[in-house]
Amino acid sequence: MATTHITLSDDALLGEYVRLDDVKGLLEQRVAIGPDLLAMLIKDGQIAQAAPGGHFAVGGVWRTIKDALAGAHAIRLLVADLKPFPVSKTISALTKDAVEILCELTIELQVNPERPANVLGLMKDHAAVTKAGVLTRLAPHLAERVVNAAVTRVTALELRGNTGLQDKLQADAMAEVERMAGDVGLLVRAVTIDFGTNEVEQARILERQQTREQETLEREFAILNRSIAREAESNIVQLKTALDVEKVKTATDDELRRMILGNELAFIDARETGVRVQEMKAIRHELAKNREERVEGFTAQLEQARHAVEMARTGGEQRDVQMDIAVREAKQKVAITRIDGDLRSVTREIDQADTQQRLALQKLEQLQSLEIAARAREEQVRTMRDLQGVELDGERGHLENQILGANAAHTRAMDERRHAADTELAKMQMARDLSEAQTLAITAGFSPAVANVLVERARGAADADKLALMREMVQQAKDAQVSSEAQARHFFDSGMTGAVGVAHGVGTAASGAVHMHGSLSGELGTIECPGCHVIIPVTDRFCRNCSRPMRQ
Amino acid sequence: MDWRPYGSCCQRHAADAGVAFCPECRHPLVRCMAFADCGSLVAATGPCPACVAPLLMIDAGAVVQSQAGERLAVPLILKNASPAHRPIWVKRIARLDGGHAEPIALTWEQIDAGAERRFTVNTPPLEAGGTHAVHLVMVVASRHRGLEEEYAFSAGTTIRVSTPRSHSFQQVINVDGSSSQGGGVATAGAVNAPVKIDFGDAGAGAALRDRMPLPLDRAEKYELEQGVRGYLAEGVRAPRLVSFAFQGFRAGECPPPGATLAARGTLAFGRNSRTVAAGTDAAPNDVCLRAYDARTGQVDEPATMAISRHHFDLVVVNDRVCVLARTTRGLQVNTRNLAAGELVPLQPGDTVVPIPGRPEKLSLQVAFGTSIGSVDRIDVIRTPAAGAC
Repeated sequence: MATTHITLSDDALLGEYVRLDDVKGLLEQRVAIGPDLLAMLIKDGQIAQAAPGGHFAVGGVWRTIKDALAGAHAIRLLVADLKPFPVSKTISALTKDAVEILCELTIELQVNPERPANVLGLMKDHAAVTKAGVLTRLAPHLAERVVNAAVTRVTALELRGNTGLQDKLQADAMAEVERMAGDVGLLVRAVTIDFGTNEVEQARILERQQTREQETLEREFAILNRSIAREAESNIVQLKTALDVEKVKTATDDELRRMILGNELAFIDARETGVRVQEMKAIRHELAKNREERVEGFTAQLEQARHAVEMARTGGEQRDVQMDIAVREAKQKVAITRIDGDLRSVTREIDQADTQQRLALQKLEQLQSLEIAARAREEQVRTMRDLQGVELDGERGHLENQILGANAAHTRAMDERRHAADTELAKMQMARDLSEAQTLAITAGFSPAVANVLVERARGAADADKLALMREMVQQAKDAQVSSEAQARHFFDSGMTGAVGVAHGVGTAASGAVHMHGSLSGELGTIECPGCHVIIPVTDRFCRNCSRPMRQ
Repeated sequence: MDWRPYGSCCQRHAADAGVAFCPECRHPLVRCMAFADCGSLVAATGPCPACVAPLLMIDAGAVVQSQAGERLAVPLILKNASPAHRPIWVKRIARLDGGHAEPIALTWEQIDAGAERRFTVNTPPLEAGGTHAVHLVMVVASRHRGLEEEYAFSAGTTIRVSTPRSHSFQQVINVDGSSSQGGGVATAGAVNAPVKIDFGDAGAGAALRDRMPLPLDRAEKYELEQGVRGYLAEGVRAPRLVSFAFQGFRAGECPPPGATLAARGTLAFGRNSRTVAAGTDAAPNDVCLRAYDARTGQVDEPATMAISRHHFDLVVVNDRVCVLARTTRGLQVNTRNLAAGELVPLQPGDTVVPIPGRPEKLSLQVAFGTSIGSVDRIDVIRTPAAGAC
């Protein structure tokens, strides 16, 4: 009895129905299916067996006779691959920064070995189910729901090596496949997406490539420069000349250049000569260029210097004018100062004249006082001498003159009483001579001089009104606290003429009156400041000592 | 305290030494301390225009342009242009560098009227191109009879600094032997030929043909910040027109409240009375200082005789109220003894003791009434009090 191994007719197939009639014959055939395949035997429309692998006997004489006699059973055998199989699909997506990418979605699928019968949901009645067909059914859902949904959340440069993204894609794919094909016996073992190189990554790669190339070039250039520098530093130039060596040593650069060009000086090393010739050409070129630039610079400097000269000249003229103005101002100040000095000198001369006059008057008063004092002293001396003579006479005849002395003392006592009586008599005579008005003023407490002023002011009135006027004036003078003759005259003069200012302060002058203006005191046209009691000219609008307003 | 300029009437009346206020316009007449020499009126806190008239100039030939990285030395001339022929004293000159003042070493001090003095200002290396400003500040003093008034002035000039523009080319010339002009000698190699090219006005320092005057501005803020004038700690100035008020004096022994120094610039304190009495008191004081017996109220003659007829003056110098000692019998400010002619600024709360060592007999304490940046009123409080003034 032969045994036939049944497998899937193509590796691309996931499952297919096997035609048993092809193996059925007169002789019984053994059909074996490997354990990596699902063997589902459907007998008369019912699943007779569904298990990984299987062994069946098909055909045979006896079974043929039996089928002929009792009728044949409807038997179908479904074989499906139970091994995991990868399927891949290229998907286009758009990243967060709007870069289009291509990626290859690889899914490791497997028919669920625990529920293999469910694979019937995938099968077609008249065709086999391919692995690519399964992917075709799943791909639209995975592309939009899984891949695009995840890729749009990251930028183009964040795709590669992003394990988290891969895990999310795998989880989402598993959930989606489980939702769509879980009940038909499919499960997902792994999902991986390989991203193709996108535009951003290509640009980054190109940039890095160019950077590396540039760095390589610069490194090579630096190495070359160092090499040239080492060569230049180590070169020893040998010159050949027919001229005096000392002269060549002391030659300037221009002279050396001229000698080289004139072949008066040659390099022994021909290579060096050629190099120097090229250097000279380059230097000549640079010199010419420098000369042109220097000429242009000098021209610009010349223009600038001319401009500066013009500015300086203008500034100088301006300063001259300013200095002239300053000189004129200074001259004016000097003239004003000189005029002020002259004014002060004139003022001083006037003050000196006033002072001299005042001093002369004081001296005259002092002389008069001295003369009176001298006469008084002479009288006192004479009296004292007389008394001394009397005392000496008394001492000489002390005893004899006791009576005379007592008589003299009695006589002096009598003289004193007589003198007191004479004084009282004189007072009574004076009181007898006073008028009623004077008596009224004196009894009011004023001095005789003030009383005379009051009487003089009341003299023009009628006799009947004189006494009333006198009383009124006495009351006004008491209110104004008039204490001297001058104040009384000033008080009543101002009252009659209406002069302003004096009446406010007359009689109120404190004992602490400050520095008087000697030249103004007592002069005509002066008034006393009621604030500080300083005598000031009547023409002053403000007090020159305390700034009090004096007149409007 | 508003200040207005003097009028011609003020100048006319200022000649009378006894006039404190202009009788025509009421302007207080503040005379210069050297009024006898200059005859000039001064502002409340300003300098005398006739005594203090410095003139600063950059000397001819000075270079005021440089290149970046260079130092510059600017020769300057300070001239005394006083029209009153008064000398000035230069206390210090400094170059302001940001908030720091770098002093300039001077070997001279006095400048007579019309004379000039020279000095040089060295700048630090001017690193960056462009226009740099050099600021100077100087303190100038005027002296008269033991008093010295200091004033600060500032000036500035600009220096043009140009940047040298140079470019370096690192060129390598490859020489091919076949094309060289060396006479057919076949050779080849590379020549390293660096080229440096300078552009612009290299070293173009333009020199001045003539002297260039620099305007001087009064530096009041510097004066206050540096303690040149005014009270540094309190940040206030005492103007020459500050008013005085007296407490504890008897009537007639002190001026009325609001007295100023306008007339003579001083307030005289001493034993003499305030009134002129021929023969006995030819030199009256503004404030009479006499010691009184606390029990009887009578004059304490031994203590009073220890006070000179003219004991001391209160003056305003450098915007500070100062005591100018006149007596030879001794005078104390707080506990410091003053010699005759010595000038001591008074701080708020200071005590003047006319009889050294005997403050219980007589002492004067000063208190300041200030407003914005200015001392408006000074109270002189006598202890022990002798009565109402």
